Amino acid sequence: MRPLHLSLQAFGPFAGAEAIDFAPLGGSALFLIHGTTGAGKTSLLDAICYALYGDSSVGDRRDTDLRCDRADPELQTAVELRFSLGSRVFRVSRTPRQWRARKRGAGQLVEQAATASLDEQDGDKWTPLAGQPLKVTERIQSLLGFNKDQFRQVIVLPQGRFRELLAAGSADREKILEQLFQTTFYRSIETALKLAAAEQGRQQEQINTRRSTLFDTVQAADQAAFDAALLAQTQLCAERNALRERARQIREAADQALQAGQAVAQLLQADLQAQQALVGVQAQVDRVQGQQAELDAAQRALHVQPAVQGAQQAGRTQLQAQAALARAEQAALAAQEAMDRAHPELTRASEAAAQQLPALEQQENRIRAFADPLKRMVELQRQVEVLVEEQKVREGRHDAMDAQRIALQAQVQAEVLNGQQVETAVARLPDLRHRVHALEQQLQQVRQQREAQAALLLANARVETQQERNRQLALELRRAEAELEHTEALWHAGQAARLASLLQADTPCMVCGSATHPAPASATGEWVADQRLQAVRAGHRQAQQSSQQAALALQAAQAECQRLQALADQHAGRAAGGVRAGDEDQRAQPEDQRAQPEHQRAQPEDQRAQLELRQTRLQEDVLLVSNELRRAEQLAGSQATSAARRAALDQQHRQVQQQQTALGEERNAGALQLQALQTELQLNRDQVPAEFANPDHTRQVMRDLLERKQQVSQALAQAQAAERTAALAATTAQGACTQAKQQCAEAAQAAVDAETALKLALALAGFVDMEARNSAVRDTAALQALEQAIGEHAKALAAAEHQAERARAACLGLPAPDLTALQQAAGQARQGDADAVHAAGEAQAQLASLARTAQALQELAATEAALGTRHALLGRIAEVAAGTNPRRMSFHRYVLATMLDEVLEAASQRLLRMSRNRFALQRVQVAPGGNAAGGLDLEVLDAESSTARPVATLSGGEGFLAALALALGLAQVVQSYSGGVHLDTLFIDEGFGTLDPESLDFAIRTLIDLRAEGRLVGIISHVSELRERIDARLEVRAGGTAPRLQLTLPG
Amino acid sequence: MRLLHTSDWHLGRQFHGHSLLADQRHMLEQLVAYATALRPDLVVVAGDIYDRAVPPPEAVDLLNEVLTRLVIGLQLPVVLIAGNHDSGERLGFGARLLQRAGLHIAGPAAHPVTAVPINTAAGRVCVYPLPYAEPGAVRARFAQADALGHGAAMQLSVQEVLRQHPADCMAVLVAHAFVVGGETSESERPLSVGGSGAIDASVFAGFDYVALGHLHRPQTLGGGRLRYAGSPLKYSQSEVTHAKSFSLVQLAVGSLPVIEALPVIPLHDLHVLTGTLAEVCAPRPEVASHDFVLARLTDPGALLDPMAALRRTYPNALGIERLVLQGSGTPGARGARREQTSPEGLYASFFEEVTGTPLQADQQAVLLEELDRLRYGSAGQDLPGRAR
Repeated sequence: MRPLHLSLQAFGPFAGAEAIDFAPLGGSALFLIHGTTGAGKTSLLDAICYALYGDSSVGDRRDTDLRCDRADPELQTAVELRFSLGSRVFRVSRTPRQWRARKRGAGQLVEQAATASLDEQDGDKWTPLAGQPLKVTERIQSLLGFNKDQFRQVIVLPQGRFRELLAAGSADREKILEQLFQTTFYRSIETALKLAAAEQGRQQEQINTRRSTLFDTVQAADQAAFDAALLAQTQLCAERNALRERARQIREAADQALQAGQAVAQLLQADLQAQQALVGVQAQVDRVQGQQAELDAAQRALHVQPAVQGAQQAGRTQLQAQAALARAEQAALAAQEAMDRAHPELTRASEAAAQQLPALEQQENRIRAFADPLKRMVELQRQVEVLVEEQKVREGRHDAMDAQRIALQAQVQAEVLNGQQVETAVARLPDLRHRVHALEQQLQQVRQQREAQAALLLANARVETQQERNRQLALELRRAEAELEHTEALWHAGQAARLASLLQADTPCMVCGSATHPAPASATGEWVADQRLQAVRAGHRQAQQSSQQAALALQAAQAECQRLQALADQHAGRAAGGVRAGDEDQRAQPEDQRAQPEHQRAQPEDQRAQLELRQTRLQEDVLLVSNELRRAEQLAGSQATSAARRAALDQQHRQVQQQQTALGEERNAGALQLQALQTELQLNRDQVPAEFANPDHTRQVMRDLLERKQQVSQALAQAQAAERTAALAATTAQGACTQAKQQCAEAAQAAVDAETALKLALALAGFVDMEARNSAVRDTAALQALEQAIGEHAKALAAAEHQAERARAACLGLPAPDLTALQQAAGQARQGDADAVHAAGEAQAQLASLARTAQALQELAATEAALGTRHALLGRIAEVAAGTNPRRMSFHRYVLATMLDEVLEAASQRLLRMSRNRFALQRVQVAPGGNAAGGLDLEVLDAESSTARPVATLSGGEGFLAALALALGLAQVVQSYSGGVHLDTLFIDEGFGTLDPESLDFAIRTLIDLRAEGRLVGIISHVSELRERIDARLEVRAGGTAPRLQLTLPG
Repeated sequence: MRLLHTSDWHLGRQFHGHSLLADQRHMLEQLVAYATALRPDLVVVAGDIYDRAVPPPEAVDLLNEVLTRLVIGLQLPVVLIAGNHDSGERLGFGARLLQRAGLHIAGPAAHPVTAVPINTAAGRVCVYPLPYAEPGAVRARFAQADALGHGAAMQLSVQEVLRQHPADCMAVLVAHAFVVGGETSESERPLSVGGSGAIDASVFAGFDYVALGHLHRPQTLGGGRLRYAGSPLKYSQSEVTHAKSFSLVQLAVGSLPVIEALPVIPLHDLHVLTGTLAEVCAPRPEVASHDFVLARLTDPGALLDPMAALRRTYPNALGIERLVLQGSGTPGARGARREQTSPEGLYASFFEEVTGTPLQADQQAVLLEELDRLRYGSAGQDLPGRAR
């Protein structure tokens, strides 16, 4: 589950509408939610929990407490969360039960019930999935995989309650793990095994019941009685079958007799029928003859047809020829009329042309004479205008050059002034350099002096330490000497005692030779071995050596000290001498320096202070003078450039003057040219007469003349053409007329011939006139029908005669049978047969059922046997799986324990890193004989004491780290199990304030490493260190009108 | 010109719960002594002065004391820049006032870089202190539209510096960055989350010497002109083998800088001892009894209060790592369990563990039958005449 966008209004402390877009954070981000107390940080998590489950994250805040008190009554409390689950995107929105203002009627509040809705994104639209609060919660639970309590323990580590998962009891943890790892399958295995074992027992019961039922059906007490019954039944069956065979034979005989009698009766009936048919056919002969006559007449009428058609065709042709003649006469008339009209037109047009044309041509020639002078005039005028423009441009340039010259002169003046300044600067240079050098020398002396003093201090310090060490070593030496004495004394005593033990009375003593031993030494005190004595001696020698070395070292250090002292004095003397012979700038401190040689050794502190002061002042002076020097050098450098600039300016001035003179000459030449052009123009103007002085007007007149000429010629041509066409039309029309007359005559002749032919055909066919013939005509269908009827009648007659003959032949000499008697006999025989069959069948059925029962009993016995063995095995397996075993652990719990171990391993890795390799988490091993409800409890392994302790003994900060490690380990392991729910978001509400800076550093590093695992982690904290370290931040501000939520992104 | 180069003091740091302030004070005493004896022209501290943005008051006091002794007492100019652990704005308080005394602090990333000119007998050197800046801050300062990586951000800052550099001086840059090719340690805080923030050495071409800070091992890179002075104390387990030092650098025009490492003797040295508890607790000559000790114990079994035993020999022992216990736990069984993910396999191992006897073949057959029935719902034994 990854949140994409959260929007809320009038919720918790947020009076208005706020929205957070999580998308810019990217897929794997660590972000911080920070703000002042009460700004609403935890309320954001509340909003997410509420949107998903209808209940806030803390659990103490009820549904009705969610509305913001300060919100506008018009504004509804609502939360909407868009989140992604794998590749699917969902949107859930809720409003709690709240009071809102009534729409009608002022001032009244009406209660509005809680609403909720859940949609899934599908392309561009949202498909609704659920629309009521409870259903939405159910759906979300099934999608996400856990309910709200588990959500609070696994996804959100709430403020102050983050230890819930850590400290939960085995039963709670079992539920959560079952949910997360989807291990219901294993629980169902356990249940299934138990059920199967129970099932087996039940099956055994059933077998027994069944067996007794089967015995009851045959009223047998046991298997033997049953077998006897079976045998009796078989015998009965055989008897009944024999009876049945006999009855069947009787029946067959009776049937055969009956069939023979029936055949004879049928033959007699057939003969009677054939005779009757023959009579019927013969009655129809007359009718058929009439039909034949009709047929003949129709065929004759057909022959006349062609002649009739010919007569009709001739009549039509004649009519057509007459119409054509009338049309041709009309056309000839129209052509004549047209020709009459065209003639006078032609005469009129010719007269007009002859009048007008000569005058127009004369005018045209006059105008052409003056064409050339006009052209020249136009050109001259154009040239004049161009020249005037050029003169104006030259004037302008002349003025500009004047201005330029004046500006240049001003610049030259400025340059001269600058040059003077530079010279003064150059003069001062050597003086400044000298001063800088002197100051630096003094600075160097002072530094050396101070160095010497510091070295001296160090050397003195070293001397002191060395002396201290020497003292210590001297103590060591004395101690070693004492020990040596003591040890030697003991040794001596020991030796003495040893020798004393060898003494015997009256033998001389080895040491002094005396024979009497009044007081032999006894072994009191410690026995000192030779080696020990040697060791102590060696120690003593070493101490002596060290002491000597130390003394040498001390001498060396002291010598060094003296040397440095001498060096320091030297420096001081030189400095004092240097100062008295030195610069006027040092007059500021004459008293200090003269006092220096006397007070040098007595007051080192004052001296150092003075030297510091002096050094500072010298440094300042050096800086000041160096700055001045640099500035002077800069000025000197610029001397050369100044002269060069001046020369350039002079040259420019000269150039400008030259340009100006050239321009003046050009101007004069232009004026002369202009004058010449204007005189020529005037000359040309005089040559042309007044009426043609304007060239445009002249052109227009010319155009008009040409147009008129063209119009007149066109009119004449048109009239001539019209006259010609009219003449042609008249001639054609006349020709057509003559042709039409001829055709008419031919058509009349043809009509008469056809009429005659028709009359002839009628006579041949035997008809009196056309009417008779028409009545005899029949169409093709009628003709065919007639023919068919005649043919059929003939056939029918022949068949009927044939049939009658045959029937008569068949029934010759056969007597009539007695059918009734035969039928009765057959009926009785059948009845007898049926009875016998029925009886046999009964007996058979009885036998069959007994056989089946026997079969069933056999099968039961076999099943019972198989069941027995299986029951034993299954019973044992189911027992063990349910927890009846020496460890008292059920299968499901075992699987959970395995997974929990894996989770704890992952969690321990992280916890070790965060607690500097001190703490690890492990599962409490259940003791044999203990309560089976345990087995999933946690404890903490402490590396420093190598013991395990309960989780509740961890401190606040340690507990937080453990809870965090557990949550991270859980998320990591769940991801790797297929079918596990997605845990790719984690929210942590406070808890970082309980960590010391080093642990906080480790915790932050662990969280930052989570980014690589692709998880979104949100932290709520007020710890300021986190604000510096985490660059993606969501700031929650309290109150005011500015936006309350602001997201800052890295980069 | 000679300069004394050091960095990564991390004043106020805690190590396994111990405050290192006394060790840091001891180390700074040696710095002052070297400075007194050798009289360099300049002291450079290249970042990570404090360990946290808001340091403990004792650390602030210690820094105050040391700087006063160097700048006022020895009259040495000191250049200081902020590193990624420091808060630049807090460190840079009063920078312009302190400049007059000879202490040059470059703290805030938003301020432009001002040169510190040093005049020596050999010539002039311009030192440019460039404090550590997040790429986001550099981007805001130069008004760039796109997001910058560490390399690009450093490029922009360096270019601005070189633009204002006059041609007749030597150029020395003081910077806090991670240059490619440098060796890291556990105690350096990564500069960029989800990336190394490494910069190529070619960005610094154009400088005669670059005094770097951030990496804790003293090392020279980039053909001899880039130098990490390293942290003067060991701040993590991975630094146990480092030889800690200050760097004394001699610069001359036209030749490579000559670098001498001045050794630093710590108040408590850091050791990592590996072995059984008995071996580790036995005293050995190279480890002083008051040194910091981290023990990595190889004992396979349980131990009774190992920390107390260790503290008897080394009172400043910091922590214990149990090498065996962090492994697989009860050896063998857990790993074996994880391998079997099939239900029948899980049941077989469960059976063996709780009853002590392995699962027989006929029992296993019955189990498989029942599991199949559960999975696929196949028909069981059918009895004749049974009502459905």
